[in-house]
Amino acid sequence: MLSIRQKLKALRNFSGNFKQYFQMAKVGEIARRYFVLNAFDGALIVLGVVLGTYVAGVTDPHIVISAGLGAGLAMSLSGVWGAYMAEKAERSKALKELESALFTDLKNSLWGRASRVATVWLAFVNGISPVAVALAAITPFFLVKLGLLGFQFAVFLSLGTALAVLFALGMFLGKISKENIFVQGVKMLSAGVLIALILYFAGLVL
Amino acid sequence: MVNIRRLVIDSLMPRDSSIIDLSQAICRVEGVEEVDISVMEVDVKTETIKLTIRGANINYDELCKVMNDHGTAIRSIDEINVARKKISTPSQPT
Repeated sequence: MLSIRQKLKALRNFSGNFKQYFQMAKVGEIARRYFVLNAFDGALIVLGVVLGTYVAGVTDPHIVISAGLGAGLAMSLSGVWGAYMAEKAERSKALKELESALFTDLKNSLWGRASRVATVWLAFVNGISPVAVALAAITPFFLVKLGLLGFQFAVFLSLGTALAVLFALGMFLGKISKENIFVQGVKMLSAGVLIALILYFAGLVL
Repeated sequence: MVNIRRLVIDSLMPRDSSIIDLSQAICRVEGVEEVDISVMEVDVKTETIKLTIRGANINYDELCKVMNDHGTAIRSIDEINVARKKISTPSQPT
């Protein structure tokens, strides 16, 4: 049996190894990019689903939840699959090139392990970001089902959450690029406002 | 018993690899007390490095394992210093 101190040491080594793998495989920058791209997609899709169903006159929260979650999960699966396959192909190519330059086998080295860990982590980030945002924006409709909120209020709360996520993503990008975070936030928010206007006018026309 | 006390190794390592991490990992090998690494040549993907490793009794197998784990390929061993450890026998009372 391992003592608590040994378990903590093993956990520290494990997290230390991951930090080293992430540095070697340059995961940070790519993960940030994937996260922003997919969270943006997730927020816009929920925005589209909520506005689209509202304009169509839907008042059943079950339909909005099913449509929003369905779209979010489909995006999540597509994100995991796509990122895993693309990253695996690119990283295998890079590892093979390095192997041929070094005249050695790197599959079981730190480089091989870093490549595999990076592939799985990036696929996870790519997959989790849209579904997390979709879940957050759809939560008000769960509260409607529980009888805690009115449908109309849930629609506005859901739209507000999706727009807040867009603004937060813009601020995050502003922080990374060391530019004005509010300007970047407004730029991202404008995409959400644009899709809302399009859907509103489409609803009037239809 | 013959102990390896100094090794000069010519190796090839990935360009993105850190010689700080490599030197620290080698210094943790059993019997190693001191590590010097000099970068001799820089290529697009690789770096040629010269390692000078000193210690009382360097564990060569473990050293190779650590270097391979860091993606460092040993090209040649350019210098070596080994010494036979004297086994001290208890002095006979006269």
